[in-house]
Amino acid sequence: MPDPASDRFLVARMLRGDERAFAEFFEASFPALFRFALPRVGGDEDAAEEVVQLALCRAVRKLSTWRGEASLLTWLCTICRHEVSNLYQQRKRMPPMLDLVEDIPEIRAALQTLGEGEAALQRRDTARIVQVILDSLPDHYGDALEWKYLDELSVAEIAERLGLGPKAAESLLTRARGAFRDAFTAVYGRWSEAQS
Amino acid sequence: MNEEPKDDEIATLIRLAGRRPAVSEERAARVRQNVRQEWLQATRQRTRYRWLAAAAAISVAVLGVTLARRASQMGPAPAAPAVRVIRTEAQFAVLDWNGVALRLNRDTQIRILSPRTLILDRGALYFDGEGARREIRTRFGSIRDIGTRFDVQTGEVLRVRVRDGRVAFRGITVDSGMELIDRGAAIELHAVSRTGDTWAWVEESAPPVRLEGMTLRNALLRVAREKGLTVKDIPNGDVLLHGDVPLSPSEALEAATAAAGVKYRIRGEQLIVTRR
Repeated sequence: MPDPASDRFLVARMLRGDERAFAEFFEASFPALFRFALPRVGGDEDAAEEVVQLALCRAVRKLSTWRGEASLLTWLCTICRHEVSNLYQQRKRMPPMLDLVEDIPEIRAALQTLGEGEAALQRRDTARIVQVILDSLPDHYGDALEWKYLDELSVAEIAERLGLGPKAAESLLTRARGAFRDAFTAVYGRWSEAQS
Repeated sequence: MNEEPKDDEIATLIRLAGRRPAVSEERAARVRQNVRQEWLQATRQRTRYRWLAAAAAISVAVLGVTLARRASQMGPAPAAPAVRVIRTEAQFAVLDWNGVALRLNRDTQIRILSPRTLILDRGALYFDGEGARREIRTRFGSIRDIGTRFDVQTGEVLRVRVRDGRVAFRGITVDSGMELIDRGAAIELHAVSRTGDTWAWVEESAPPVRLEGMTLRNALLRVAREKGLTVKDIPNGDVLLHGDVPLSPSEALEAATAAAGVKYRIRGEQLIVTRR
């Protein structure tokens, strides 16, 4: 689950003009936001780039208005939704009919506390939920889990990628698994309620 | 499944999902550059002022308030505490005054008293800041912005022209599209164009435009702002532009419209864009 205190600290540093904070913000936000936007613009990568850029530009201008009630990524996704809507209004076209599980109201409500996430019963939906959860996790947790379970990197290799010592990397992986577990359980629980 | 997934189940789920789609480095770098620029600009507007690099022989031009009176008719220049004096000679200057963008014309001098107050001794200054609530002191009196873009010139007369927003001078409010001239014996107020040759030095001193990664819409809005024009409909507005060459506003207007397959004309204070 995203750490509100961590987000607040990051925003405070960015408001003071800390370049490293901006780098952290962009590195953490852009890929997830791009993946959020892409299906909502019909898979058009150039359009996704444009709406994400507009959303991030708006966000850094309005950064002082973020109050921390929702996670930073959730806030960014909300702004991005508006930009996607604007895009279709400007083009005078209908947005694609999407059936994204994260847009189901009950799931979306559950995901508000996580950033983004989804519950799913079908394989495709499960895959999407897992990926959205990974995007919602803080502090390179999603990356670390992919490196561990998809690339089968060792703890030492993960430590090197993250610039950590081995023990710190092991600790991060433990926290990442815990965060993923909590997020998936919370989302899946809400999904089960919605289906009953 | 209402139980928490175990570690091997987490592994299974992540392998089932597969890797999240990656974003190309080139795309990320392009967006990062543009967003960073936006962040830097927003940061400068929020923090204490820092000076932007300008041309070589720099002084500081203060807001273009033109002072017309002979010295004998004027009161003494406002006494100032130790301040930074900025003087231009043959070059323009562009600087950030605590979040307000100032452009200084040639042969201009200002003194910065504080983040909110400066003195225009001579020359011309273009002020661009929203809600900044600043004071520009002159021998004629003080000009207070009320969230605006305006030009003040000193010389034989004091002239204040407002492009957007309003300013206050000696109890007189000068609105957008108006010009105040203080000739000493009398103060005149009349309508003035927001665009045209009389604003030429402001456009000449504008920061360069780099079209790379901008949409046509954003590029034309920026150009229109620099030229004091309004623009409404922009066909092909979402076309992404390319090119990292620094351009003047006029050059950017030509390049952007040509690249996006539209044409333009200027009618009065309006930039009209149509498809080719």
